[in-house]
Amino acid sequence: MKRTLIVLLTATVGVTAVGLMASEDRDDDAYHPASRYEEHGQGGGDGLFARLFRDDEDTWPERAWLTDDRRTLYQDECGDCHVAYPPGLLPSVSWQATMASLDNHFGENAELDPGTRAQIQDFLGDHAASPGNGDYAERMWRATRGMAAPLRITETDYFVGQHHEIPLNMVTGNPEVRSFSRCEACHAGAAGGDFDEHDVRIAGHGKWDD
Amino acid sequence: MMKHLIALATMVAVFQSAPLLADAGKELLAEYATITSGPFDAERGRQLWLQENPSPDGPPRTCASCHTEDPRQPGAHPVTGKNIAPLAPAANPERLRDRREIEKWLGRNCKWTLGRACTAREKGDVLTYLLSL
Amino acid sequence: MANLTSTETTIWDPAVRLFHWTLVASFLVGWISGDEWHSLHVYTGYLIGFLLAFRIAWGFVGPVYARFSNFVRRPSEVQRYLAEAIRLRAPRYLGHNPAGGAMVVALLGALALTVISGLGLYAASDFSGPLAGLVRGEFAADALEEIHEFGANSVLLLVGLHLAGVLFSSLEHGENLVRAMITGRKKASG
Repeated sequence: MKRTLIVLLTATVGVTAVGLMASEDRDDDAYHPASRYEEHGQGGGDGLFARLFRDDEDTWPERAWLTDDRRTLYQDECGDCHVAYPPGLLPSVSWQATMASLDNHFGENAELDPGTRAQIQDFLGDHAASPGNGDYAERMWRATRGMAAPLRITETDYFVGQHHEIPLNMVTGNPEVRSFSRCEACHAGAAGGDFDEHDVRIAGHGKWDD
Repeated sequence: MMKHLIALATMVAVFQSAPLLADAGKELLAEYATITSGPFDAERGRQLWLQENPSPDGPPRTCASCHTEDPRQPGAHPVTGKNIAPLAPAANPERLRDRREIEKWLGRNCKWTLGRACTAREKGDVLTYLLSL
Repeated sequence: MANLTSTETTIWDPAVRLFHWTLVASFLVGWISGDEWHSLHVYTGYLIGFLLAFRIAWGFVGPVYARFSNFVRRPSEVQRYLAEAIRLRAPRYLGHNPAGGAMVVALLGALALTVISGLGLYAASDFSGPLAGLVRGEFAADALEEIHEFGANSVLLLVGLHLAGVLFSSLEHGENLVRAMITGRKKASG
């Protein structure tokens, strides 16, 4: 009887200890996005448990860039023709190069007034792929270190590695997708940094299973 | 006498403040009118809209490249495929309401399409064309 | 049932036992977390790597039954043992029998292959981990992924054989080998 009690007590204390250690502590910042997706879809929370059981290595857990006030400006000014790419996908030298050549932005004119341009450039630089900006951005930084300021996310080693098994007839040969630069055509959560490989639906082809 | 004056003042005030369709557009038109001479012409605007301009790469560039030949129709970006809502306020009441937006897009797209900034007359003509639809 | 404690002896030391069951749990977690829970999977891999390193070291400096010299036998001996076992004439060993010894080697090898390819894959695909920057390229990533999956499947297969072997030996000699790996104690030789 005594042994049973000891075992039960130890088990209870043990489980409680683990539970407390692993509990999900969320940053209680003032920003509470209305979108359910942004609130819950990215494994938000920094507790041990949350970190261990994150959905996927391609789901962006760091939320600083999402809650930055300047993000709205970025989306408004840079999201008219394509998805406003998450800043952490390129190092800040890349963003600087892009913002310095808006008059010839991949063949388009995307000029902005200097004040807006400066604000967006700062936003991008602050959240770019770099060691200080969280696991995901750090990984993108490591992945781009061998390249001199890549301008296209689709040319980075990491991107190519993740997409090289996809048949081209589903992307470039697919009128509903057309280009790898159209993240949102297959990644519904692209704007919020969710590229979870389990949620990929290729337009016109359905779910993609790795 | 006083009553009439008040009535008159009220009417003037009401008329002045009555919301006009695409007021930003009209505001800009008024500004452009001060820079250039002669009335704006919707037909000239339409010609400009359809005009094909040489391109450094690829097919000739026109406003229709993205917005289609009829501004009342939705368009799409030829490269990114992004849907573009109709530009004519008659088809899309959201259009031409924000001055900054109009100037931003005229700035970008004139340079892309024509290879240079549009003159005040050209901008006035195009806006007039869009407002006339 | 006769009281066996006076004729029992301790074979498996606490370290070996802790190692064994931690490895079982880790492999389970690693297997289940492989596709979905990436962070957990990686941490588990590190843990298994550490466990392997420990076991190899312990195999040289640990107590007698933990040492490789005690149970790692030449293939011909293993073959002979298996031939006898099939005829239910295999002798009883206090430590690992030759087949068990071979299983230890095979498992350590397959696990090591899995962990090392995992580290390489982590670098090549995720640009993360201690090998980041050293292992890169699409070819490396693809090859390592295949090797990693092969390694994991091999371990699973070996685990299946291991369970069968443990069950068989337990029945053949009338003892509970699973309990022995928990308590460390077996019937003394007789």
